[in-house]
Amino acid sequence: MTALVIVAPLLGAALVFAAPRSRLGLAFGSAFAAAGVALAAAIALFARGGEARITRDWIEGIPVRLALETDGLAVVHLLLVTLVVPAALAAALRVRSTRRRSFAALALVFEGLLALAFTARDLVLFYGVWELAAVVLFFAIALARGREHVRVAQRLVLFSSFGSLPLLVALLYLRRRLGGDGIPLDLEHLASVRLTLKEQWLGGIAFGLAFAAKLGVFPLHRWTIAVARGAAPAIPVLLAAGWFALGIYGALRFATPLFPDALAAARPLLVALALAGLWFSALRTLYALDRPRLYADLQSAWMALALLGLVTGTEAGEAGAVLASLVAALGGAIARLVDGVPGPGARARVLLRRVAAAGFLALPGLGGFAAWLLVLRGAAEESTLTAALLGGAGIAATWGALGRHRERGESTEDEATGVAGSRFGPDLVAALILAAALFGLGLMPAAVVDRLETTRTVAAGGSR
Amino acid sequence: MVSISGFFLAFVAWVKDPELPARVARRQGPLHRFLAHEMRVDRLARGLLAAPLRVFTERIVFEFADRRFARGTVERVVAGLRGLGSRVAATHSGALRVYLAVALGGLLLVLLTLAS
Amino acid sequence: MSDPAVAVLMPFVWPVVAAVIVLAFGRRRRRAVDGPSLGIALAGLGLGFVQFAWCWQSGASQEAFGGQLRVDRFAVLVGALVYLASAVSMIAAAESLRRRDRLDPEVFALFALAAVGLAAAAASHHLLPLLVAFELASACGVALVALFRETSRGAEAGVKYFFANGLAFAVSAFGAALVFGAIGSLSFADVASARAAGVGGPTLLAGIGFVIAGLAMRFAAAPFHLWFNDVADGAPAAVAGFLASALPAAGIAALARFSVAVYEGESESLRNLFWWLAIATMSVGNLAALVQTSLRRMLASGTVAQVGWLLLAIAAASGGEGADGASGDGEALRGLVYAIGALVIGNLGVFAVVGRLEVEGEPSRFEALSGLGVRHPWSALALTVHAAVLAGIPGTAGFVGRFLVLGAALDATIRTGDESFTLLAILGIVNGLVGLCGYLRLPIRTYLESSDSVRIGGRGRGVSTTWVVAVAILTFAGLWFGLGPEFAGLGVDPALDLARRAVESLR
Repeated sequence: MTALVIVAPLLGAALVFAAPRSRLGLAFGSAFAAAGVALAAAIALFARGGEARITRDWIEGIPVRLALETDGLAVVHLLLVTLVVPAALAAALRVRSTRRRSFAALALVFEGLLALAFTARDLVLFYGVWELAAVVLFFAIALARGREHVRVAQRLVLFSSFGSLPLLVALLYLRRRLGGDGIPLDLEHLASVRLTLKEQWLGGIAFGLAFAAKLGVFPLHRWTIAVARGAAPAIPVLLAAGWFALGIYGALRFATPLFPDALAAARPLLVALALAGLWFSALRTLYALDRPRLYADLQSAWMALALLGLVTGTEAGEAGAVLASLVAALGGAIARLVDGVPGPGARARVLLRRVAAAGFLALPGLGGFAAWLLVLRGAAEESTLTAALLGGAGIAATWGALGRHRERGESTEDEATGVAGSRFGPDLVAALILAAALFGLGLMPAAVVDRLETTRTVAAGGSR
Repeated sequence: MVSISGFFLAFVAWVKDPELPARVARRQGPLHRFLAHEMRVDRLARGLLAAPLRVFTERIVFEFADRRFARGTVERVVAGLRGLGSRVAATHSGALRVYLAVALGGLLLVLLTLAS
Repeated sequence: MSDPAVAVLMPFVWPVVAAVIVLAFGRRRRRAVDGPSLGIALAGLGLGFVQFAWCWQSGASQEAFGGQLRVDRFAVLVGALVYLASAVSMIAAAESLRRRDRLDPEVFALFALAAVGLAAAAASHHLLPLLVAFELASACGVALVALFRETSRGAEAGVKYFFANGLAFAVSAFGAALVFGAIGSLSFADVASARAAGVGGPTLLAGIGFVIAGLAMRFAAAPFHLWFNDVADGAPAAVAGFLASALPAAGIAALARFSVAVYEGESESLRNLFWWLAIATMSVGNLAALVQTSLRRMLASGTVAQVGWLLLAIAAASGGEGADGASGDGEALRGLVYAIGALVIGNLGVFAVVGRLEVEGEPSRFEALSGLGVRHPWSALALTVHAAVLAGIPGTAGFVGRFLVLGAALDATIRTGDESFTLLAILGIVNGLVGLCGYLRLPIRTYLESSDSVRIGGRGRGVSTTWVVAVAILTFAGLWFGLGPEFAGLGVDPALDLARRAVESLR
C-alpha cells in the first residue's frame, strides 16, 4: 500500500510525459487518475493506521537503505500530500500560459518524492529525497512561471541548501559515529548511539538549521515571501503539500530522538526563538500589503506555532505541532487556490476564503482550534508566561487576518484575468475537498492525535 | 479532553448555524467587536493601542527585523561573496607578469609551509 | 605478449600506433569529418582501454622500466578515464571543428597522444617518466589549444598554456634535482623509504615542495591556476573539455601516488600544505565562478574548485594512523577516485553541450543559454544534469564523491582527534554552497530566462549521431553512478568497489 502511494504518482508522471502534446485533457486526466489512486491508497492506510516496514538494501557503499514504514506520523502526512497535490494540479489547470503538461508531471514526481520522504526510516534516504524534491521544485517553479520566478527559484535553492549542507555534515558524522561503512543510518541504528552533549549541540544546530529553513520561520523566512509574491499560484499550493510540513516531521522523526539532552538544555532558547517567530509573523499579518503576503505570513505564524509545540517537548505540544503544520498547509492551500487563481465563481470563492481564514483564526470546529489548544496546553506545562505570550500573538494574528480579510475579501473581480474553464472549475472542487479536510481535522482531531500516539509508543517500546 | 469537549460544543454550534460568516463574527463576540469595530470609531483606543502597535510593527518588525536583519543579512552575504569573487576574478588579468608573480609567490608559500 | 613488460606497455602503445597511422594516412576534408581517421583514433583508444581492462583483470600491479612505470589498478582506472575523456573530446571536436573548417586529421592524433601522456603520468612511479609524460601531453595540448591561433583569444590561450607548462616543467625539474641530490634516486619507492627512515633532511623536503608545486601548476591548483581561465576561454570547446577533465584526473592521480610515498614518516607539514592548497583552490575557484560573465570562464573557475575538492581528499588521506593504528587514507582515496570520475563525466558533458552551442554561432556568453530549454530540450537536460554532477546534487555521481571525501575528512578527526579536519569539512561545505550558486546559473539561464531577446542559432541544424550517443551515455552515467543500484556490474556499489580495489593497489 505504501509502495502504491509512492509509485502511482511516479507512474502517472511517466504517463503525462507520454501523452501527446496536443491532448492536454488526456495528460491531466491521467495525472488526476494517478493522484486519485495515491489518495485512495493513503486513505486506506490511514484507516488501517499504518503499515509495517519494507526494507531493501539499495546502495551499501553510501549507505542508503530503502527502509520504509508507514506509522501514524507518516500516514497523516501521506494523507496531506495526496490531498494537496491534486489541488496544485487543479490550480495549474486554471491558468493559461503555463507549460501545464510538464508542470503536472513534475508535480506528480514531487508527490512521489514527498511520500518517500515521509515514510523513509533511513536518514540518508530522507536527505537525498529531500534534495531531489528541491530540484524538482526548482523546475516546477521554472515551468509555472510567475512574476519573479527566477528570484523565487534562486531563493528556494539557496535557503534549502543553506539548511541541507550542515545536515549533510551531521549525517556524515553520525555515520562515522555509528561505525562506518556497512551500517545504515536508519532509526534503529540511530537509536543505539549515545551522543555526548557537545555532539548533540552541534548536531542539533545542523538539524535545526535544516528544518527551520524548510519551515520558513523567522529569520529564515524570506524565501516564503518571495514565493508568495513572485511565483505562480500553483507553486504555493504545491509547497503546502508537505514541503513546509517536512520541517516539523523531520524534527519529530529524527532530531528529537537523536538529541534529547541538547534539546532539553536549549529549550528556553528555542521557545524564545519560536515565540519571536510567531510574534514576528503575527505582526506582519497585521499590516500585510496584499493577500498573497498575508497568507504567507499566516502560514509562517502557524509554522512558528508548530515549532513552539515541538520544542515544549510535551506530548500535547508535539501533537499540536503536527496539527498546526497540517492546518497551515491546508489553510494556505485553500487560500491560494481560491485567491491567486483568477476565475469566476466569486461567491464560492469568498466563502472558501473565509473557511481558510477561519482555519487560521483557530475558530472552534476547524483544525486550527485543536492545534492551538494542544500547543497551548503543551506550552502551559512548560511555563505559564509562554502560554500567555502565545495567546497574545495568536489573537494578534487572528485579528490581523480577519481585518485584512474583511477589508479586501469581497473584491475578487480585479484579478479575474486570463480565465479558463467553467464557472465551477476543478480548483474550486479541490478547495472544497481541502476545506472538508480542515473541518474534519477540527471535528475529529482525535483521529490524528491517536495515530500520533501509536507512533510514540512504538518509538518508546521499539527503538528508544 | 478539554479540547475534545470543546470540539463537541463547536460542532453543535456549526451544524445548527449554517450561516458561516455571521457566525464567525458572533462567535468572536465582544473581543471581535472591541478589536475590529470599536477601534474604528474610538479614536482614543486607536491612539492607545493601534498606533503604537502600528509604529512598533513598521519600525521594528518590518524595518529592523525583516528588512535590515533577515533580508539585509542575505543581501550582505551575497554582496560580500560577489565582492570577494570580483576581487579574485580580477587576478585573472591576462598579464603574464602577474601570473608569474602569483605562481612564484605561491611556490614560496608552499616551501614556507613545508619548512614550518 | 609473453614478456610482462611489453604487456604493461600495450595500453599506451595502441593509441600511439593509431596516432601514427592517422598522421600518415589521414586526409583533410572541407567541412567534413575524415571518418577513417576518427575511427582509427577511436579504435586505438578503444584497444588501449581493452588492454587496461586486461591489466585490471590480471590483478597484481605490473612494472616496466625497472619500476619507473607502474600499471596498477589505480593507474588503470585513471588511464581508462583519461582515454574516455579523449574519445569523447574527439567526437565533440569532430562535431564542432568541421563546421569551422578546422578539422585536420592531426587533431585526432594529438588527442590520442595527449591521452597517452596523461595516462602514463598517472602510472609513473618515478619523477623522470612523470616529467616526460607530462611534456608529451602538454606538447600535444599546446597544439590543440592554439587551434584558433589566428584569433587573439586563441593565440593568447596557446601562449598561456605553453608558458604554464614551461614553468611547471622548470619547477618540477628543479624539485627532481633536489630530490636526487638528497637521496640519490628519483623513484617514489626510494622517496618513501627515505621519508620513513627520516633521511634526506631539508633538501628532500624542499625537493618535494618543488615537485608538488610543479604538479599543482599542471592541474591548476590555486595559486597556480591563473592560466587556466584564459586557456579554457580561447581553446576550442572540445579541447577545453579535455583539459578540464583529463588534466585534473591525471595530475591529481600523480599527486596522490606521490603523496602516498611522501606521507611516510612525519607528515605534519605536508598535511598543512595540502590543507591550505585544498581550501585556497576551492575558495578561489568558487568565488571566481560566482561572478564570471563568460560561460567558459565560469566553467574553468568551477573546474579549479573541483580540483580543490580532489585536494581535500588528499588532505584527508594525510590523517595518518589513529591511536588504534587504523589508517583511514583508503577511504579518502576511494572518495578521490570517485570524485575524479564524477569530474571527468561532468566536465566532458558540460563542455560538449557548450561546444555544440558554439557550433551554432552562439558565443560563449551566458546569454547563449537563454531559452535553451525550449530550443534544444535534450541538450538543456544534459547540461543541467552535468551541472548537477559538478555541483554535487544528491542523485548524481558528484554527490557520492563528495559524500565519501567529506566523510573521510570527518573520519580523520574522529581517528586522530585533530579538529582541523572538521574545519576542513565545514569549509568544504560552505564552498559547496557557494559553488552551487555558481552552477545554479546554468539551469536558471537555460530554463528560467526566456529566449525572446536572444535569437541566435535555432533548430534544424542537427548534430551527428555519435555526438548524441556520447552525450547521452555521459548523462546517463552521471545519474547512474549517483543513485543506480547494481545492474549488469554497473551502479554505485560496483563503482565503489572498483575505486576501493584501485586504491588498494596503490600501496
